[in-house]
Amino acid sequence: MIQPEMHYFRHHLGRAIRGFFDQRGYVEVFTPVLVRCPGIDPHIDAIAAGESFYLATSPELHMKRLLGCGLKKIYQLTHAFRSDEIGKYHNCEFSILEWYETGINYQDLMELTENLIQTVDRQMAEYLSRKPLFSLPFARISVDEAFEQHAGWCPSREWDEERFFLDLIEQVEPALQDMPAFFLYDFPAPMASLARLKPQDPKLSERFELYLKGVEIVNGFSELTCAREQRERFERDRARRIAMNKEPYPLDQHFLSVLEKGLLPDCAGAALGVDRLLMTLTGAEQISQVMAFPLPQV
Amino acid sequence: MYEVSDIRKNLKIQIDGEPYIVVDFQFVKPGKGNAFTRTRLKNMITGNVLDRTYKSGEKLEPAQMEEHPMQFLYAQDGMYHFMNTENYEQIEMEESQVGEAKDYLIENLEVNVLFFNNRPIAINLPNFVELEVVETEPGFKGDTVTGGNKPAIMNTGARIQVPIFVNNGDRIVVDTRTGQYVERAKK
Repeated sequence: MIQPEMHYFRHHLGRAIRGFFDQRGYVEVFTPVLVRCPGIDPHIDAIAAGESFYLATSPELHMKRLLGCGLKKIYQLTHAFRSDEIGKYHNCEFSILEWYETGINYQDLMELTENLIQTVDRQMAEYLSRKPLFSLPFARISVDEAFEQHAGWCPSREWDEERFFLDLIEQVEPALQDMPAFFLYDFPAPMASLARLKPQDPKLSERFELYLKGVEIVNGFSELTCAREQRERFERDRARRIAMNKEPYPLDQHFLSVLEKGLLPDCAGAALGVDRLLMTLTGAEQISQVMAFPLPQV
Repeated sequence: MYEVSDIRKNLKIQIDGEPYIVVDFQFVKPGKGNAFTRTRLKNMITGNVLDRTYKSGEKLEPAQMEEHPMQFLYAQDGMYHFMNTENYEQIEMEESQVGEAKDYLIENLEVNVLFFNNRPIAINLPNFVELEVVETEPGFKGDTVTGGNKPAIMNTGARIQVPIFVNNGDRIVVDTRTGQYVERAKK
Protein backbone atom coordinates (compact mmCIF):
# COMPACT_ATOMS: atom_id res chain seq x y z
CA MET A 1 0.00 0.00 0.00
CA ILE A 2 1.11 3.57 -0.59
CA GLN A 3 1.98 5.83 2.31
CA PRO A 4 -1.20 7.26 3.88
CA GLU A 5 0.04 10.86 3.47
CA MET A 6 -0.22 10.43 -0.30
CA HIS A 7 -4.02 10.54 -0.05
CA TYR A 8 -3.72 13.92 1.64
CA PHE A 9 -1.26 15.16 -0.99
CA ARG A 10 -3.66 14.16 -3.78
CA HIS A 11 -6.62 15.75 -2.01
CA HIS A 12 -4.64 18.95 -1.59
CA LEU A 13 -3.53 18.95 -5.23
CA GLY A 14 -7.15 18.56 -6.36
CA ARG A 15 -8.18 21.53 -4.20
CA ALA A 16 -5.34 23.65 -5.56
CA ILE A 17 -6.34 22.83 -9.16
CA ARG A 18 -10.03 23.54 -8.55
CA GLY A 19 -9.18 26.77 -6.72
CA PHE A 20 -7.08 27.96 -9.67
CA PHE A 21 -9.85 27.46 -12.21
CA ASP A 22 -12.67 28.65 -9.92
CA GLN A 23 -10.81 31.94 -9.43
CA ARG A 24 -10.64 32.45 -13.18
CA GLY A 25 -14.36 31.96 -13.78
CA TYR A 26 -14.14 28.41 -15.11
CA VAL A 27 -16.98 25.98 -14.55
CA GLU A 28 -16.29 22.37 -13.62
CA VAL A 29 -18.10 20.03 -16.03
CA PHE A 30 -18.83 16.32 -16.03
CA THR A 31 -18.74 14.30 -19.25
CA PRO A 32 -19.30 10.56 -19.68
CA VAL A 33 -16.65 7.94 -19.01
CA LEU A 34 -18.71 5.40 -20.96
CA VAL A 35 -18.58 6.51 -24.61
CA ARG A 36 -19.36 5.27 -28.13
CA CYS A 37 -16.45 7.01 -29.90
CA PRO A 38 -13.24 6.81 -27.87
CA GLY A 39 -11.16 8.92 -30.29
CA ILE A 40 -9.31 7.64 -33.31
CA ASP A 41 -5.63 8.30 -32.56
CA PRO A 42 -3.67 5.44 -34.20
CA HIS A 43 -1.51 5.01 -31.10
CA ILE A 44 -4.20 5.16 -28.42
CA ASP A 45 -6.25 2.02 -27.85
CA ALA A 46 -9.48 2.06 -25.89
CA ILE A 47 -10.78 -0.52 -23.45
CA ALA A 48 -14.08 -1.94 -24.70
CA ALA A 49 -17.03 -1.94 -22.33
CA GLY A 50 -19.65 -4.29 -23.73
CA GLU A 51 -20.73 -4.46 -27.36
CA SER A 52 -20.95 -0.84 -28.45
CA PHE A 53 -19.27 1.17 -25.72
CA TYR A 54 -15.76 2.00 -24.61
CA LEU A 55 -14.15 3.63 -21.60
CA ALA A 56 -13.14 7.18 -22.53
CA THR A 57 -9.48 7.64 -23.49
CA SER A 58 -9.92 11.38 -22.80
CA PRO A 59 -12.90 13.74 -22.30
CA GLU A 60 -11.77 15.93 -25.22
CA LEU A 61 -14.58 15.53 -27.76
CA HIS A 62 -17.39 15.82 -25.23
CA MET A 63 -15.83 18.91 -23.67
CA LYS A 64 -15.54 20.57 -27.07
CA ARG A 65 -19.20 19.74 -27.69
CA LEU A 66 -19.95 21.72 -24.52
CA LEU A 67 -18.07 24.72 -25.96
CA GLY A 68 -20.39 24.32 -28.95
CA CYS A 69 -23.34 24.72 -26.55
CA GLY A 70 -22.07 28.14 -25.50
CA LEU A 71 -19.88 27.40 -22.46
CA LYS A 72 -16.75 29.57 -22.51
CA LYS A 73 -14.36 28.32 -19.83
CA ILE A 74 -14.61 24.73 -18.66
CA TYR A 75 -12.46 22.25 -16.77
CA GLN A 76 -12.81 18.69 -15.62
CA LEU A 77 -10.94 16.33 -13.31
CA THR A 78 -11.85 12.81 -14.35
CA HIS A 79 -10.51 9.37 -15.18
CA ALA A 80 -9.32 8.19 -18.59
CA PHE A 81 -8.52 4.66 -19.72
CA ARG A 82 -5.97 3.39 -22.23
CA SER A 83 -5.42 -0.23 -23.05
CA ASP A 84 -2.01 -1.87 -22.48
CA GLU A 85 -0.36 1.21 -21.01
CA ILE A 86 1.45 0.23 -17.88
CA GLY A 87 4.89 1.28 -16.68
CA LYS A 88 6.83 3.74 -14.57
CA TYR A 89 4.71 6.66 -15.86
CA HIS A 90 1.68 4.75 -17.16
CA ASN A 91 -1.35 3.07 -15.66
CA CYS A 92 -4.29 1.93 -17.83
CA GLU A 93 -6.64 4.00 -15.68
CA PHE A 94 -5.36 7.44 -14.74
CA SER A 95 -6.48 10.86 -13.52
CA ILE A 96 -6.71 13.52 -16.18
CA LEU A 97 -7.32 17.25 -15.96
CA GLU A 98 -8.64 18.92 -19.09
CA TRP A 99 -9.55 22.56 -19.58
CA TYR A 100 -10.73 24.68 -22.50
CA GLU A 101 -11.17 28.41 -22.97
CA THR A 102 -12.71 30.23 -25.92
CA GLY A 103 -11.04 33.25 -27.49
CA ILE A 104 -7.46 32.22 -26.63
CA ASN A 105 -4.72 30.46 -28.62
CA TYR A 106 -1.94 28.04 -27.68
CA GLN A 107 0.46 30.87 -26.74
CA ASP A 108 -2.06 32.22 -24.21
CA LEU A 109 -2.63 28.65 -23.07
CA MET A 110 1.10 28.10 -22.40
CA GLU A 111 1.01 31.16 -20.13
CA LEU A 112 -2.11 29.89 -18.36
CA THR A 113 -0.49 26.46 -17.99
CA GLU A 114 2.67 27.78 -16.36
CA ASN A 115 0.55 29.88 -14.02
CA LEU A 116 -1.44 26.79 -13.08
CA ILE A 117 1.75 24.83 -12.36
CA GLN A 118 3.20 27.72 -10.36
CA THR A 119 0.03 28.04 -8.28
CA VAL A 120 -0.27 24.35 -7.41
CA ASP A 121 3.51 24.08 -6.90
CA ARG A 122 3.43 26.95 -4.38
CA GLN A 123 0.46 25.53 -2.52
CA MET A 124 1.96 22.05 -2.36
CA ALA A 125 5.30 23.54 -1.27
CA GLU A 126 3.57 25.33 1.57
CA TYR A 127 1.66 22.21 2.52
CA LEU A 128 4.82 20.09 2.45
CA SER A 129 6.92 22.81 4.17
CA ARG A 130 9.50 23.01 1.43
CA LYS A 131 10.54 25.45 -1.31
CA PRO A 132 8.61 25.58 -4.61
CA LEU A 133 10.21 23.47 -7.36
CA PHE A 134 9.56 25.76 -10.33
CA SER A 135 9.91 29.43 -11.20
CA LEU A 136 8.46 31.40 -14.10
CA PRO A 137 8.76 31.77 -16.97
CA PHE A 138 9.26 28.20 -18.20
CA ALA A 139 11.66 27.74 -21.12
CA ARG A 140 10.11 27.44 -24.59
CA ILE A 141 11.81 25.37 -27.29
CA SER A 142 10.29 24.65 -30.67
CA VAL A 143 10.27 21.03 -31.84
CA ASP A 144 12.40 21.90 -34.89
CA GLU A 145 14.95 23.71 -32.71
CA ALA A 146 15.17 20.83 -30.25
CA PHE A 147 15.62 18.22 -33.00
CA GLU A 148 18.14 20.28 -34.99
CA GLN A 149 20.19 20.78 -31.86
CA HIS A 150 19.99 17.30 -30.33
CA ALA A 151 19.11 14.90 -33.15
CA GLY A 152 20.62 16.68 -36.15
CA TRP A 153 17.55 16.95 -38.38
CA CYS A 154 14.47 19.07 -38.90
CA PRO A 155 11.18 17.16 -38.53
CA SER A 156 8.96 19.74 -40.22
CA ARG A 157 11.21 19.76 -43.31
CA GLU A 158 11.78 16.00 -43.72
CA TRP A 159 9.04 14.11 -41.88
CA ASP A 160 9.73 10.55 -40.68
CA GLU A 161 7.37 9.41 -37.94
CA GLU A 162 9.33 6.38 -36.77
CA ARG A 163 12.56 8.35 -36.56
CA PHE A 164 10.73 11.20 -34.84
CA PHE A 165 9.55 9.19 -31.85
CA LEU A 166 12.72 7.16 -31.52
CA ASP A 167 14.89 10.31 -31.56
CA LEU A 168 12.45 12.05 -29.24
CA ILE A 169 12.91 9.44 -26.52
CA GLU A 170 16.57 8.57 -27.23
CA GLN A 171 18.10 11.97 -28.08
CA VAL A 172 15.88 14.96 -27.43
CA GLU A 173 14.23 14.13 -24.09
CA PRO A 174 17.49 12.93 -22.48
CA ALA A 175 19.31 16.09 -23.65
CA LEU A 176 16.65 18.31 -22.08
CA GLN A 177 15.89 16.30 -18.96
CA ASP A 178 17.93 18.49 -16.61
CA MET A 179 15.78 21.56 -17.30
CA PRO A 180 13.22 21.79 -14.48
CA ALA A 181 10.40 22.88 -16.78
CA PHE A 182 10.10 23.56 -20.49
CA PHE A 183 7.54 23.75 -23.26
CA LEU A 184 8.18 21.90 -26.50
CA TYR A 185 5.97 23.65 -29.07
CA ASP A 186 5.09 23.93 -32.76
CA PHE A 187 4.81 20.24 -33.56
CA PRO A 188 5.13 19.24 -37.24
CA ALA A 189 1.78 19.11 -39.05
CA PRO A 190 1.60 15.27 -39.16
CA MET A 191 1.73 15.38 -35.32
CA ALA A 192 -0.99 18.05 -35.08
CA SER A 193 -3.50 15.65 -33.50
CA LEU A 194 -6.59 17.89 -33.19
CA ALA A 195 -4.61 21.14 -33.26
CA ARG A 196 -4.99 23.97 -35.75
CA LEU A 197 -2.13 24.39 -38.25
CA LYS A 198 -0.26 27.68 -38.13
CA PRO A 199 -1.95 29.98 -40.66
CA GLN A 200 1.40 31.54 -41.67
CA ASP A 201 3.27 28.19 -41.76
CA PRO A 202 1.04 25.14 -42.29
CA LYS A 203 4.00 22.74 -41.93
CA LEU A 204 3.63 23.38 -38.20
CA SER A 205 0.75 23.01 -35.79
CA GLU A 206 -0.19 25.17 -32.81
CA ARG A 207 0.46 22.43 -30.30
CA PHE A 208 2.72 22.18 -27.24
CA GLU A 209 3.76 19.79 -24.54
CA LEU A 210 5.00 20.75 -21.10
CA TYR A 211 7.77 18.71 -19.47
CA LEU A 212 8.41 18.92 -15.74
CA LYS A 213 11.58 17.27 -14.40
CA GLY A 214 12.02 15.56 -17.76
CA VAL A 215 8.54 14.02 -17.79
CA GLU A 216 5.78 14.96 -20.22
CA ILE A 217 2.89 16.34 -18.15
CA VAL A 218 0.65 18.52 -20.35
CA ASN A 219 -0.42 18.44 -23.98
CA GLY A 220 -2.27 21.46 -25.33
CA PHE A 221 -3.23 23.25 -28.50
CA SER A 222 -5.25 25.80 -30.39
CA GLU A 223 -8.22 23.67 -31.35
CA LEU A 224 -8.97 22.79 -34.94
CA THR A 225 -12.45 24.21 -35.70
CA CYS A 226 -12.66 23.51 -39.45
CA ALA A 227 -15.13 20.65 -40.00
CA ARG A 228 -13.75 19.57 -43.38
CA GLU A 229 -10.16 19.33 -42.17
CA GLN A 230 -11.24 17.59 -38.96
CA ARG A 231 -13.16 14.95 -40.93
CA GLU A 232 -10.18 14.39 -43.22
CA ARG A 233 -7.87 13.87 -40.25
CA PHE A 234 -10.32 11.43 -38.62
CA GLU A 235 -10.60 9.48 -41.89
CA ARG A 236 -6.83 9.40 -42.29
CA ASP A 237 -6.31 8.14 -38.72
CA ARG A 238 -9.07 5.59 -39.17
CA ALA A 239 -7.36 4.30 -42.33
CA ARG A 240 -4.09 4.05 -40.41
CA ARG A 241 -5.77 2.05 -37.66
CA ILE A 242 -7.12 -0.36 -40.26
CA ALA A 243 -3.67 -0.64 -41.87
CA MET A 244 -2.21 -1.38 -38.41
CA ASN A 245 -4.78 -4.14 -37.88
CA LYS A 246 -6.36 -2.15 -35.07
CA GLU A 247 -10.02 -1.67 -34.39
CA PRO A 248 -11.33 1.29 -36.46
CA TYR A 249 -13.49 3.08 -33.91
CA PRO A 250 -16.56 4.95 -35.19
CA LEU A 251 -16.19 8.66 -35.92
CA ASP A 252 -17.95 10.96 -33.47
CA GLN A 253 -20.67 12.39 -35.73
CA HIS A 254 -22.11 14.52 -32.91
CA PHE A 255 -18.78 16.27 -32.55
CA LEU A 256 -18.34 16.66 -36.31
CA SER A 257 -21.83 18.12 -36.60
CA VAL A 258 -20.95 20.80 -33.99
CA LEU A 259 -18.02 21.77 -36.24
CA GLU A 260 -20.11 21.59 -39.42
CA LYS A 261 -22.66 23.98 -37.95
CA GLY A 262 -19.84 26.39 -37.11
CA LEU A 263 -20.68 26.20 -33.41
CA LEU A 264 -17.14 25.59 -32.09
CA PRO A 265 -15.56 29.03 -31.56
CA ASP A 266 -11.81 29.70 -31.66
CA CYS A 267 -10.47 28.15 -28.48
CA ALA A 268 -7.55 26.35 -26.91
CA GLY A 269 -7.42 23.46 -24.49
CA ALA A 270 -5.03 21.17 -22.67
CA ALA A 271 -4.86 17.82 -20.92
CA LEU A 272 -2.70 17.23 -17.87
CA GLY A 273 -1.67 13.93 -16.28
CA VAL A 274 -2.62 14.46 -12.65
CA ASP A 275 -0.82 11.36 -11.33
CA ARG A 276 2.41 12.41 -13.03
CA LEU A 277 2.07 15.93 -11.65
CA LEU A 278 1.60 14.45 -8.18
CA MET A 279 4.72 12.31 -8.75
CA THR A 280 6.70 15.42 -9.68
CA LEU A 281 5.50 17.42 -6.70
CA THR A 282 6.12 14.65 -4.17
CA GLY A 283 9.27 13.18 -5.69
CA ALA A 284 7.66 9.77 -6.27
CA GLU A 285 9.59 7.53 -8.67
CA GLN A 286 6.75 5.37 -9.93
CA ILE A 287 3.15 6.19 -10.81
CA SER A 288 2.12 3.29 -8.56
CA GLN A 289 3.49 5.24 -5.58
CA VAL A 290 0.85 7.95 -5.97
CA MET A 291 -2.22 5.79 -6.72
CA ALA A 292 -4.35 4.20 -4.04
CA PHE A 293 -4.82 1.08 -6.17
CA PRO A 294 -2.50 0.80 -9.18
CA LEU A 295 -3.52 -1.82 -11.71
CA PRO A 296 -1.73 -4.83 -10.20
CA GLN A 297 -3.55 -4.20 -6.89
CA VAL A 298 -7.03 -3.53 -8.27
CA MET B 1 9.65 -15.59 -31.03
CA TYR B 2 8.88 -13.23 -28.19
CA GLU B 3 6.72 -10.12 -28.60
CA VAL B 4 7.77 -6.81 -27.08
CA SER B 5 4.96 -7.26 -24.55
CA ASP B 6 6.68 -10.47 -23.34
CA ILE B 7 9.70 -8.53 -22.10
CA ARG B 8 10.26 -9.17 -18.40
CA LYS B 9 13.22 -9.15 -16.05
CA ASN B 10 15.37 -12.29 -16.53
CA LEU B 11 13.94 -13.04 -19.99
CA LYS B 12 16.70 -14.67 -22.04
CA ILE B 13 17.02 -13.60 -25.67
CA GLN B 14 19.50 -14.01 -28.48
CA ILE B 15 21.05 -11.14 -30.47
CA ASP B 16 23.62 -11.81 -33.23
CA GLY B 17 24.20 -15.32 -31.89
CA GLU B 18 24.90 -14.14 -28.33
CA PRO B 19 22.70 -14.82 -25.31
CA TYR B 20 21.40 -11.84 -23.34
CA ILE B 21 19.36 -11.59 -20.18
CA VAL B 22 16.98 -8.68 -19.52
CA VAL B 23 18.19 -6.95 -16.34
CA ASP B 24 15.84 -3.97 -16.54
CA PHE B 25 13.09 -2.66 -18.79
CA GLN B 26 10.78 0.33 -19.03
CA PHE B 27 7.58 1.03 -20.95
CA VAL B 28 7.92 4.35 -22.79
CA LYS B 29 5.19 6.08 -24.75
CA PRO B 30 5.52 9.65 -25.92
CA GLY B 31 2.21 11.54 -26.17
CA LYS B 32 0.45 10.81 -29.48
CA GLY B 33 3.24 8.38 -30.35
CA ASN B 34 3.77 4.65 -30.53
CA ALA B 35 4.91 2.61 -27.55
CA PHE B 36 8.49 1.53 -26.96
CA THR B 37 10.15 -0.74 -24.44
CA ARG B 38 13.57 0.38 -23.36
CA THR B 39 15.71 -2.52 -22.13
CA ARG B 40 19.02 -3.03 -20.40
CA LEU B 41 20.50 -6.34 -21.50
CA LYS B 42 23.45 -8.26 -20.12
CA ASN B 43 25.49 -10.52 -22.33
CA MET B 44 25.45 -13.85 -20.51
CA ILE B 45 28.94 -14.77 -21.72
CA THR B 46 30.94 -11.54 -21.55
CA GLY B 47 28.85 -9.71 -18.95
CA ASN B 48 28.80 -6.63 -21.19
CA VAL B 49 25.74 -4.45 -20.77
CA LEU B 50 23.77 -3.21 -23.76
CA ASP B 51 20.88 -0.73 -23.89
CA ARG B 52 18.34 -1.41 -26.58
CA THR B 53 14.96 0.12 -27.39
CA TYR B 54 12.25 -2.01 -28.99
CA LYS B 55 9.17 -0.58 -30.60
CA SER B 56 5.85 -2.37 -30.28
CA GLY B 57 5.44 -5.00 -32.98
CA GLU B 58 9.13 -5.98 -33.06
CA LYS B 59 10.06 -9.60 -32.39
CA LEU B 60 12.77 -10.94 -30.10
CA GLU B 61 14.53 -14.23 -30.60
CA PRO B 62 14.50 -16.50 -27.54
CA ALA B 63 17.91 -17.78 -26.43
CA GLN B 64 17.99 -21.57 -26.64
CA MET B 65 19.19 -22.60 -23.20
CA GLU B 66 19.60 -25.98 -21.62
CA GLU B 67 20.41 -26.82 -18.05
CA HIS B 68 22.20 -29.99 -16.96
CA PRO B 69 22.91 -31.31 -13.46
CA MET B 70 26.64 -31.50 -12.91
CA GLN B 71 29.04 -32.42 -10.15
CA PHE B 72 32.10 -30.26 -9.59
CA LEU B 73 35.24 -32.40 -9.74
CA TYR B 74 38.32 -30.20 -9.44
CA ALA B 75 40.02 -27.03 -10.67
CA GLN B 76 43.42 -27.04 -12.31
CA ASP B 77 45.36 -24.34 -14.15
CA GLY B 78 42.37 -22.00 -14.22
CA MET B 79 40.06 -24.67 -15.69
CA TYR B 80 37.07 -26.01 -13.75
CA HIS B 81 36.08 -29.61 -14.40
CA PHE B 82 32.55 -30.97 -14.02
CA MET B 83 30.82 -34.26 -14.64
CA ASN B 84 27.31 -34.58 -16.03
CA THR B 85 25.49 -36.72 -13.45
CA GLU B 86 23.05 -38.02 -16.09
CA ASN B 87 25.50 -39.34 -18.71
CA TYR B 88 28.84 -39.07 -16.83
CA GLU B 89 30.36 -36.90 -19.57
CA GLN B 90 32.99 -34.48 -18.37
CA ILE B 91 33.20 -30.82 -19.31
CA GLU B 92 35.50 -27.97 -18.42
CA MET B 93 34.84 -24.27 -17.97
CA GLU B 94 37.17 -21.29 -17.86
CA GLU B 95 37.47 -19.27 -14.68
CA SER B 96 35.83 -16.25 -16.38
CA GLN B 97 32.73 -18.34 -17.18
CA VAL B 98 32.55 -19.73 -13.66
CA GLY B 99 32.60 -16.18 -12.28
CA GLU B 100 31.67 -15.64 -8.64
CA ALA B 101 30.49 -19.25 -8.34
CA LYS B 102 34.13 -20.25 -7.79
CA ASP B 103 33.84 -19.00 -4.19
CA TYR B 104 31.46 -21.88 -3.48
CA LEU B 105 32.79 -24.71 -5.62
CA ILE B 106 33.84 -27.47 -3.26
CA GLU B 107 34.59 -30.96 -4.48
CA ASN B 108 31.53 -33.06 -5.35
CA LEU B 109 29.15 -30.06 -5.11
CA GLU B 110 26.06 -30.64 -7.24
CA VAL B 111 25.20 -27.67 -9.44
CA ASN B 112 23.25 -26.92 -12.59
CA VAL B 113 25.25 -25.75 -15.59
CA LEU B 114 23.54 -23.55 -18.17
CA PHE B 115 24.36 -24.26 -21.82
CA PHE B 116 23.86 -21.94 -24.79
CA ASN B 117 24.36 -23.61 -28.19
CA ASN B 118 26.02 -26.55 -26.40
CA ARG B 119 28.45 -24.19 -24.72
CA PRO B 120 28.54 -24.01 -20.90
CA ILE B 121 28.08 -20.36 -19.95
CA ALA B 122 26.93 -20.15 -16.34
CA ILE B 123 26.54 -22.09 -13.11
CA ASN B 124 23.42 -22.15 -10.98
CA LEU B 125 24.47 -22.94 -7.44
CA PRO B 126 22.35 -24.44 -4.68
CA ASN B 127 21.12 -21.63 -2.39
CA PHE B 128 23.17 -22.92 0.56
CA VAL B 129 26.59 -24.55 0.65
CA GLU B 130 28.75 -25.80 3.49
CA LEU B 131 32.28 -24.38 3.63
CA GLU B 132 35.17 -24.86 6.02
CA VAL B 133 36.91 -21.97 7.77
CA VAL B 134 40.65 -22.18 7.16
CA GLU B 135 41.77 -18.84 8.53
CA THR B 136 40.24 -16.45 11.04
CA GLU B 137 41.44 -14.67 14.17
CA PRO B 138 40.41 -16.44 17.35
CA GLY B 139 37.33 -14.98 18.98
CA PHE B 140 37.40 -13.02 22.19
CA LYS B 141 35.83 -15.07 24.90
CA GLY B 142 32.90 -13.50 26.68
CA ASP B 143 32.68 -10.59 24.23
CA THR B 144 29.09 -11.12 23.16
CA VAL B 145 27.99 -7.51 23.69
CA THR B 146 29.24 -6.17 20.38
CA GLY B 147 27.62 -8.92 18.35
CA GLY B 148 30.22 -8.01 15.76
CA ASN B 149 31.58 -9.96 12.82
CA LYS B 150 35.11 -10.69 11.65
CA PRO B 151 36.56 -11.72 8.30
CA ALA B 152 37.28 -15.38 7.61
CA ILE B 153 38.83 -17.23 4.69
CA MET B 154 37.13 -20.43 3.51
CA ASN B 155 38.57 -23.60 2.00
CA THR B 156 37.51 -22.26 -1.44
CA GLY B 157 39.37 -18.98 -0.91
CA ALA B 158 36.12 -17.07 -0.36
CA ARG B 159 36.17 -14.26 2.22
CA ILE B 160 33.07 -14.30 4.41
CA GLN B 161 32.10 -12.20 7.44
CA VAL B 162 31.46 -14.57 10.33
CA PRO B 163 30.39 -14.10 13.96
CA ILE B 164 33.27 -13.87 16.44
CA PHE B 165 32.56 -17.30 17.95
CA VAL B 166 33.51 -19.08 14.71
CA ASN B 167 36.94 -20.73 14.77
CA ASN B 168 39.40 -22.29 12.35
CA GLY B 169 38.24 -25.72 11.22
CA ASP B 170 34.53 -24.92 11.77
CA ARG B 171 32.12 -25.80 9.01
CA ILE B 172 29.58 -23.06 8.24
CA VAL B 173 26.56 -22.67 5.98
CA VAL B 174 26.73 -19.77 3.50
CA ASP B 175 23.92 -18.32 1.37
CA THR B 176 25.30 -18.27 -2.19
CA ARG B 177 22.82 -15.58 -3.30
CA THR B 178 24.05 -13.01 -0.78
CA GLY B 179 27.47 -14.37 0.19
CA GLN B 180 26.43 -14.18 3.83
CA TYR B 181 27.00 -16.48 6.79
CA VAL B 182 23.84 -18.36 7.82
CA GLU B 183 24.78 -20.70 10.67
CA ARG B 184 27.31 -23.22 11.91
CA ALA B 185 26.87 -26.52 10.07
CA LYS B 186 25.19 -29.28 12.03
CA LYS B 187 27.65 -31.99 12.97
